[in-house]
Amino acid sequence: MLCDHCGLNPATASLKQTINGQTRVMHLCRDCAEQLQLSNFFSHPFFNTSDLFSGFFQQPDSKNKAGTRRCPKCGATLHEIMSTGHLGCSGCIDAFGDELLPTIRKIHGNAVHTGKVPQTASVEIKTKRQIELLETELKKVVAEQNFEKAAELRDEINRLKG
Amino acid sequence: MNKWYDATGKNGGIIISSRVRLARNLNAYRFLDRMDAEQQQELNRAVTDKLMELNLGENKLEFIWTDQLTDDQKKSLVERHLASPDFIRRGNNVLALSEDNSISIMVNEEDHLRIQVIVPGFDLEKAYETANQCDDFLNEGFEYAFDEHLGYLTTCMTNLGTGLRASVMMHLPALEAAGALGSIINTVSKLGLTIRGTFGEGSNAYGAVYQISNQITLGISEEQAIENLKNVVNQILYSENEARKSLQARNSLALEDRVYRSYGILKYVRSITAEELYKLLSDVRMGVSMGILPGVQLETLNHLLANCGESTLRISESEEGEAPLVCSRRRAELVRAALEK
Ligand SMILES: [Zn+2]
Ligand SMILES: [Zn+2]
Repeated sequence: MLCDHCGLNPATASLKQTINGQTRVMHLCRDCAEQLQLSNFFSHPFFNTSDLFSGFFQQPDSKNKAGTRRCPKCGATLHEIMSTGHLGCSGCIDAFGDELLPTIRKIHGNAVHTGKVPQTASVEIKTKRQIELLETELKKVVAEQNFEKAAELRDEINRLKG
Repeated sequence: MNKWYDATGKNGGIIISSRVRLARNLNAYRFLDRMDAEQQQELNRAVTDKLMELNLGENKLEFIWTDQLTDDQKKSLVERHLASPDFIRRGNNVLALSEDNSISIMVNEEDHLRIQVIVPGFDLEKAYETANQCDDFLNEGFEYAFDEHLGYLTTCMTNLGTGLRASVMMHLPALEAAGALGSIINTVSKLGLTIRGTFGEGSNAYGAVYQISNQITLGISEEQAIENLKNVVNQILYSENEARKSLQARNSLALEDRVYRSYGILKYVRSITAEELYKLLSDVRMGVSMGILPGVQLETLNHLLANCGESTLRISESEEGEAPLVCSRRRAELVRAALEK
């Protein structure tokens, strides 16, 4: 049996974890067991290590060439990203977007980001987000039959779409 | 300056604290798994330099370089929820901590930045507002790793999106006594939230203190995630109050007796373990918030909850490596002194 955490080494230890009242047994290799035991040492549930256990990450097909290709920015291979569930840098998404997307979908569903946009994001992204917000607002005021406000919003949207 | 836990807030009887955490990474650096020690030091310095300009008024930031701490000092940060176990384990990192302990910014945790804000009582908006301000301030100095569709890029792909985790720490003794927690846990997890015991291990929650947090970070805005959590917390709050009323209606003498017995022990105790303390504090807290036990402040109980961990007691005595027995004595002294006031 391979280690449930890294999926690379044979499992030699097991570790119990209780989340939401459900106890799961993890089969781990020595390295992972050590690492997780250490973080368990403080055993403070305020911060969870459950992200490590999400079990979503699968081994990429070893015949897949992408498994050995490297992210030009940080040098991570797809194999490394998939086995840890960890991105190596902000460039990994550009390098492996197509291959990583199915895994991301498994975790998050078909969702796209609708939250905050950083000040440092590109002008295009920020403008697009602003248009989306205005369009939502527009639907609301139309439903309320507030046509004066709707006209204002439409002008603003058209101005942003340039 | 008072610490955040020396105060109480909205619904403070049942809701001990509200917490928000934001995970952020910088574009200019590789993520933590692929950084070497030197790059980490560079990031520690760059972020520290920027944070020195952060104006919090009276509330000043202190910079704690974890490699300069003793083991007990490190563990105490974890006991007081100011740093994560993972952060301490990694080392080679720095914690920016506000004087009132409500803001803690971890540099080089699993992500480059973990901005955390804790406030007393039920006030997720306030916690988010402060975290958001710190986030904007840091973003002035550094370009963030961000993707239009995936949101803030986090090291662990499970946190993609808002990188937000909001949680509420609740005291639920009556629901626990009624055996109702199982079904609550069930419902809560179906709603994309998690609930777990705050003290103790596994499903054993010492002192009936539970933590409820959001899990979903992608496809939901920060405000929505907080709103969802708030709705669920409000329902649990309502149920806990109902369960308390029925406890009182069924046998008010037994309830009063239990509260006063626990209070009596705490007032005169000479040696006590953390586990027993949390259990007795739970009875006292319920008594105080139900008006059964006047004259004890919730602030006092919050203070004890935050300061009675093994390592925290040891560093407060500044006697490294004391035997646990001595710690139990020291804990009892602290409890008696607090209840004297
Ligand atoms: Zn392993
Ligand atoms: Zn990369």
